[in-house]
Order: sequence, then structure tokens, then C-alpha cells
Amino acid sequence: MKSFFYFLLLFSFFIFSSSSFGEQIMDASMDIEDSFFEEIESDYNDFSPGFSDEELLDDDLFEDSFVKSSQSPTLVKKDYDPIEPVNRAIFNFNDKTYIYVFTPIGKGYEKVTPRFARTGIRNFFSNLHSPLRVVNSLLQGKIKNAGKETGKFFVNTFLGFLGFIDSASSIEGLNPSEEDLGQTLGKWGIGNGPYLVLPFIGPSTLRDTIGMTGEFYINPVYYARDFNSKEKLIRDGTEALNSLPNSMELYKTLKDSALDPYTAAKNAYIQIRDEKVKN
Amino acid sequence: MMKKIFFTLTIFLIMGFNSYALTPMESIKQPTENIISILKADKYQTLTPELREEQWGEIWEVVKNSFEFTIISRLSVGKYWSSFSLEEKKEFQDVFAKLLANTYIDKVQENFKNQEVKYIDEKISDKKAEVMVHVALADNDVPIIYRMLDNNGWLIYDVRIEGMSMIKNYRSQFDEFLFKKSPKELIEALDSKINQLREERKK
Repeated sequence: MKSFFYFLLLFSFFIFSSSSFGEQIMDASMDIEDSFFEEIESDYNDFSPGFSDEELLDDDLFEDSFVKSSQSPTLVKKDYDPIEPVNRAIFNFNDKTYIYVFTPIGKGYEKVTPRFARTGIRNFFSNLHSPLRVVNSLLQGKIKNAGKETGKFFVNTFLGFLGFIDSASSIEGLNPSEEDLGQTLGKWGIGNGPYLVLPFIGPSTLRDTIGMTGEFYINPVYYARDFNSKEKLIRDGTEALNSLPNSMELYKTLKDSALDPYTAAKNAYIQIRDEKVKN
Repeated sequence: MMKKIFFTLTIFLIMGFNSYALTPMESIKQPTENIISILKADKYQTLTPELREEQWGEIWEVVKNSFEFTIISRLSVGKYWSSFSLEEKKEFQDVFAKLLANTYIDKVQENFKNQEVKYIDEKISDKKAEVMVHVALADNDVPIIYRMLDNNGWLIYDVRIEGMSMIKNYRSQFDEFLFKKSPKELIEALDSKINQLREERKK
């Protein structure tokens, strides 16, 4: 009985101490001023020894947190966007199209197709574009990645019913990074260029738009068989329709979480593309 | 015998509450598993609006102790932070935390379909750390990197999804806003955004 009492005493002590502990953190961080941040910043400056993957820990977030207000504020636009008014107009047009046309279509499609069918169709098209990714891996000098991509293509085509099942995903070593022509151009030293919003498609840059167009000409699949225009429409339409539910969900998340969806989408696109070019 | 049991229990309690003894990866794993178990809980399998709110609250309790919202706010605002008054800093921090919670907890509630979370790697350097996890969605594994700092326990200050830093993304928006407008207007804009989302959710 006595030990039970001790137990209760200890228990209440820990409950109490843990709750006040949380508040302490908040108070402390409310009070922490520059010294704490400078400490983190200096940490960041010599923040590499002992790590194999320095890039992962590279962090320039703390760089411009220390500019004092006495300095005249300038708007440093990091994402080059010379035709912003035009882009914004297309963005608004896309927004309406996504909400009033694409989202209902996507929802309807989601209702009439089971999940495994959508995944299967997605896998099928992804596998169809695999040769294109092999070409791009080679153009970037990524021989090993090209090998992985080729292996994945054969496994999925022959063991995955023409690509409907991504059997390669469970095989260690058959997980290539996906390379496209925009990334290839980036790897060759070509910068993003102006940011562009394409009608219906959405965020892009001049480089990536050129890359996307170029892919029509270098995609081996398109040379394998002469599709007539009606077949092309069905092929590309099915692929686009199948990706609608996911894309629209992603768009809604972005829009809901953003103060300015236009700037958020632009920054997200450029950050993700830059990361892909790097790897 | 009794003594032994209580002794063990006490040890467990000490270990449980001394959260600052956790490694960065454990500081991600524990709350993540907690949230998953809340999402999977039997009583929440059919969500009425009331239950939905209750579940939301439970998740929020877990989430809020894992993030360092002061530093998140400061880094998102960047160079304009010093033009905020102390009052505004507090208000901004509250309203920004609320916006993040509103959007992302809602998404998790709507879209959680028993996805598997894989804890891949952690890197620690003195007061900072990165933890990488993979969330298995239907299509592919989405890589998420949590950036954390040690402030009497590992707390998240940035999340990178597919290589995109959330802080950088918000900073690009706040930068533009604050170039033209005041901190007060920013707080109001975020506030009205939250209300707008709340209205939509009721529909």
C-alpha cells in the first residue's frame, strides 16, 4: 500500500513536471533572441564534418533572418518571373478550370474506376515512357540509372502484364530516379529561364516547356508505331484523365495551405525541379 | 512482487516523460505512430462532424508538441521579423500555427488510408538534425525530410517534401506580401484564410 502511495506521488510529479516543461519551452523560445539564432546560424555555417551526405544537411534558411529593419527593404525575387501578369491571368483561368471542370470529372472518374485499375493504368503509362527515361538518363551520363530503368522496363513489361503491375518496385536495385528532358537540359547547364504558367497544364519554365515539347520527338515509343490522330487523342486523354484525381487533390492542398496560391505554386515548382536537376 | 511492478512502472514513466532523451528519429516516430493509432481508432471509423472535431483535437495535441512554431514563424517571415512588434510576433505565431494545423490535419483526416511510414535515416550534428521518412502512397514513396533542432528536446522547424522546403515556400509568399503591406495586415490575411477554410469545411 505504501508503495502504491509512492507511485501516485511520483506519477503526479511527472504529470506536473511534463506539462510545465512544455510551457517552459514556449516561454523560452518566445524570449530567445538573437544569441540563440546566431548560435544556430554558426552551427549551420560549420555544419558538415562527419557527414557523408553534406547536401542533405545544407541549409540556407538561416541566412537572411538577421537583416535588421534599419536596412531598406528590397524585394529579392528569387524565382524569375518577367511575365507575371500574363502568368497570373492564365493561373486564374486554370484555377477555374480545375475547380469547375477537372475536379468534377476527376471525382466522377474516381467513382466509376476501382483503385487498382487507376494504379494499373498509371503504371502502364509510366512503363510506356520508360524508354524515354532511359534516353534521358543516357543523355545525362547516368549509365547506372539507365541500366536500372531498362531492367525495370523489362521486368514490368514481361512479368507485370505490359506494365500494369509494377513488379519491379519490390526488387532492390530497380528503383531508378525518373529523368526527363527538362532535367537533362538543366544538367547541361541550362537554367530555368522565365517561369511560365501553361494553359490547362499549369506551372512550368521556359526550359521545361522546351523539354516537354522535345520529348514528343525523342520518345522511342512514338516511333515504334504510327498512331493516327484519333488514337493519339485516346492515348493521351486516358493518361491525363487517369492522373486527374491525384493532381486535383494536390492542387487543392496547395491552394488551401497558401496565402498566395500563385506564388506558392511557382516556388514549389521551381524548388522541386531544381532538386530533381541536382539529383 | 508489488514493489517490483511499481518500480518497473516508475521507470517507464520516467522514460516516457523525459522526452528530451529521445533521439531525433524517435521524436518523429513516437508522434507519428500516435497519430496513426488515433486515425485507426475504432471509434473514429465512421466520422460524424462531432467525432471529426474530437479526432482533430486529439491529433493537434500530438502535433503541437513536435513543432517549434516560434522558429518556424521567424524563419518563414525571414528578414521582416524584426519589423514585427512583440505582440505581433505572438499573434502571427498563433495564427500561422493554426493555418498549418487546419490545412494539414484536415488532409490527413481525409486521405489517410493506412499508408505505411518507413523511417529511413537520421543525421545529427550537435544542435541540428534531419530525419528522413518515406510515406508509401498508392503511386509511389514520397520522401519527407524533417529538419529538427535541439531545444530541450528535438523539435521540427522545417519539413521538406520531394525536396521542397515548406519554410522557403512560405517565405516566398510572405516576402512579397510584407514588401507592400504591414505585419498587421499579414496576420489579418492569414486569419481570414483560416475562416474561409472553416466555412468550406462546414459545407
